Order: sequence, then C-alpha cells, then structure tokens
Amino acid sequence: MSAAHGLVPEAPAAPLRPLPPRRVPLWRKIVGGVVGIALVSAAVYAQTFVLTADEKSDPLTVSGGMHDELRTSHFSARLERVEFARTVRVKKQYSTDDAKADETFMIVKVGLTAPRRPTQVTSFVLTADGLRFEPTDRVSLSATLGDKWIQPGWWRSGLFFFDVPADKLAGARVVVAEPKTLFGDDYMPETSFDLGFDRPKARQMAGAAKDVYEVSG
Amino acid sequence: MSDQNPEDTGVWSPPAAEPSWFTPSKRLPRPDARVWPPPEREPRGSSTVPIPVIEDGPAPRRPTWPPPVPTPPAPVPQPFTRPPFSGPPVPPSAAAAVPAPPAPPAPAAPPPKRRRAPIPKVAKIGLQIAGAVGLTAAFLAMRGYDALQRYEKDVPPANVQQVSAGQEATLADAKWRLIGVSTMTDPQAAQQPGRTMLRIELQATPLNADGTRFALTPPGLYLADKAGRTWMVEPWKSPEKLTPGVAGRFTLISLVPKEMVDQVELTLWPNPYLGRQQSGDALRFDR
Repeated sequence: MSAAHGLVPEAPAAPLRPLPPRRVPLWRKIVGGVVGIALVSAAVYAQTFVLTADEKSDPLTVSGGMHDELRTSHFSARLERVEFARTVRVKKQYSTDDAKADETFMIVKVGLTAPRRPTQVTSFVLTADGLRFEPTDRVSLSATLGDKWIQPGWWRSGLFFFDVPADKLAGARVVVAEPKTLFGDDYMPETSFDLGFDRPKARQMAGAAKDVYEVSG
Repeated sequence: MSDQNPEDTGVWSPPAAEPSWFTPSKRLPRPDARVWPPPEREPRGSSTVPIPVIEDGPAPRRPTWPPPVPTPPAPVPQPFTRPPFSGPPVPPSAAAAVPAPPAPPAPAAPPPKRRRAPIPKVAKIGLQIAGAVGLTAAFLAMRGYDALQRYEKDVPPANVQQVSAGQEATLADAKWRLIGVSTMTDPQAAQQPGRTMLRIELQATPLNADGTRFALTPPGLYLADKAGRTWMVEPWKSPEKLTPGVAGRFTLISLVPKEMVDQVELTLWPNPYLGRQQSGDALRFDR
C-alpha cells in the first residue's frame, strides 16, 4: 500500500451532493414555454425578411412622372417627351435607314446629366403586368442615347425607341438605368418614370402616331 | 543433380556475389535460444512499469475510496476583522500606542471553503446583455473589416501623383509629359452652348517593349477638377508606332463646361479599366 501511494494519484474528493431542485410553479413553466415558442416563431418569421440573391442585386429606384427631375448618385434624368410613330427614318451621313414597327414605335425623349463621373445609360419599358421591353434593335444604336456618354456639367437629351403594343401601355413605366454588368456593384441606381397612360389614352396616342419620324444618327 | 557439377544439388543457393537490393544475402546465423521448455518468467517485482505489485495469493481487500492522506495544515490567513469603530482614524504613532486587538485563536480544523457572494440578478442579466451586444458588435465589425479588405484588394485605392507643369513622370512602362492644353471650336456648339472643346497634347516615351502598347491601347485618360468631377478624354491622334526611348505624341480631345476650362487637370491611369474604377497608381498633371 505504501509503495502504491507515490504512484497512484490520489482519488478525487467525493463530489458535493447537488442541491435539491427548486420547485418551479406550473404557471411559470407555462409562461416560459409560451415565451420560448414566441421567440422561436419570431426568429423564424424574421428569416422571411432575408433578401434573395435576385433581390440583393436589385437597383435602388427613384420614381417620378413626366418632366420630373429624378436625381440619383450616378446620374440625373428627366422624361421630356413621349411620341409615337410607325416608321423611324435614321439619317446618316451617306445613307438613310427606315425602320418599320410591328405596330408603332414609342419614342421617348430623355434628358440626362451626371453629378460626378461620365456614365452611359440604357432604358426599358415595364408594363403594368410585368412585361419588360428593351429598346428595339431595328433603329440603330447610334440614333439613340444608348451609346452616348453622359457627362457632368450639362444636360444631354436623346431618344429611346420601343416597339411596344399600344394595349400594353396602360400603367407602363419607362426605366432609365446604367447597363447591368455581369459582375458589378450592388444597389445601382435607376430612375423610373410613370408615363401616366390609361388604356384609352394609350390607344388614342398610338392611333395618332406619325407616319415617319426622322432622326439623325 | 547433374554429372558435370556435383555441387549442384538442385536447391537454389544465393549467388556468391555482393548482395544487392535484388539478390538476397545469406541469412545471418542467429544465436541459439531455448524454446522448450519455455524460459523462466521474469522474476516478479523486476518490472519497471509502475504497476503496483500484486502479491501471490488473494489480493488484500481495501476500501474503494482510500482515506484521504492528512495534509499538513496550510498557513491560515489572518481573517479580516474590522477594528471596532473608535472615533476618527488616529495617526500611526497614536495607533501604536493603542493595544492591538487580541489575535483570534488559530482554528484547529481547516476553515470552511469560501463561497463567493451570489451576483445580483439585475447585474447578471445586464452582463449577459452587454456580452451579447459586445459580441454582435465585434461580429459586425469583423465582417465589415473583411468586406473592406476584400474590396480594397479588388479595387486598390487611388494613388495619384501630382506632376508639376512641364515635368515628366513615369507610369506603367512609359514616361509621360503634358505638353499643352488649348481650346478648339466645338462642331456641336450650337446644340450644347454650355461647354467647350479642349485639345490636349501629351507626350509618351516608352521605357521598354511593354511601354509600346500605348500606341494600340491608349491609357485611361480623364480631365478632373478639384471637386472630383471627371470628364471623358478621347484620343484623337495616337502615334502609329511607339519605340522604346523615342517620344511619341498623343492628341486628345475633351469636352468640359465653359467655366471649368482653366481648372481641369489631366489624370492618367495605366489602362481604361483602372481609369473607370479610379483605382491604383495615376498621374495628375498641373497646368
């Protein structure tokens, strides 16, 4: 025994006896359970606020109507005029291109300036039922504002041409934004203009469309 | 067994040559060892492994919990006793005169274990909330720091070198010198009255073969004012060919607002992409 004392570690002291559990009244158990379930439900509900990947890359939209000057951190825009035409004639230096619409071209004149850096913008039409119309490719890009640089210090006006059926135009909006890149910044600004069209007005304006609209480009 | 070689017993024997990794050497003779009857067991108690010796015969019964070894009593700390309140504190000289309170008798048994006073509930909850807030703040700060580090790795912050008028400066395998800025007549002046067209002469001297690329891909060029606004600069005439050590001349045009004509300065970035990002090394020429 005496030899074992130096080699074998001493047995630990016997553990203290745990205190007898406190009696918790039943109503407090119930309240605690309800509060716990409420907290868990709130945590699960809070997950519905998490943005999806698409929503995270959504732009920051500034909305307005005709002739409103909408300012964003990258550009300012105003919608100056909306016209309709069946044919767009692009006069170039040595040639003239005619573009015929399926129904009518909606011609949107936009004025733009930039607060700090040169930038380029593009535009599209969002209809009330969620359809999205890009500018038509029948009219060459050089006649539109799509390939122009917007610079600080002065306003630049230009046109965008959309081939949109007139019966889709009720409640449609014209959106002006910087072109989306595959990888880029989040929270890019865009401006959204309400055209203020209802169904009869859109039909009446499309019915009064010009035959030929001449632009240079 | 053959007639020619009586040594050939038909049993393969290793070659007499030097053993190699392929030809096994002869087995070395091992010293004889007794295998039967089995050798004596090691005498008990000779093992060096610290195992308690088990005597032959039935093991002595012993309590499962050995009685605690009496430890020498530790020096008992003097328990703090507040001296009885006796008026204002007296100076040490006077205190020496006061007889010290009689020392309490040292307890024979070890003193009971000291228990910490329980933390008040409010303080406990406050500590927990403070810990949660602190950990959340630390987590958010770490995430923000990480995002900033990654962004600065992708887009290094701008490092603009100011070049005094007429001087030459080196950037991206070439030496650059601003020769002059002059106004031009704007063909679209009637449509856009508020702006002026500028003509900028820039001289580039490639330092090596890499520097000759600017004849094909001009660098990122912008005009900038003090407030940080920038304007496009387009190369109008580029040198057809650049040769290392030979100066080539770029003619650039730009449009700026009329009131900024005397204030804008040419900034030069190594390529158009970095110019758009405004990141990395750049030159800014004084006028």
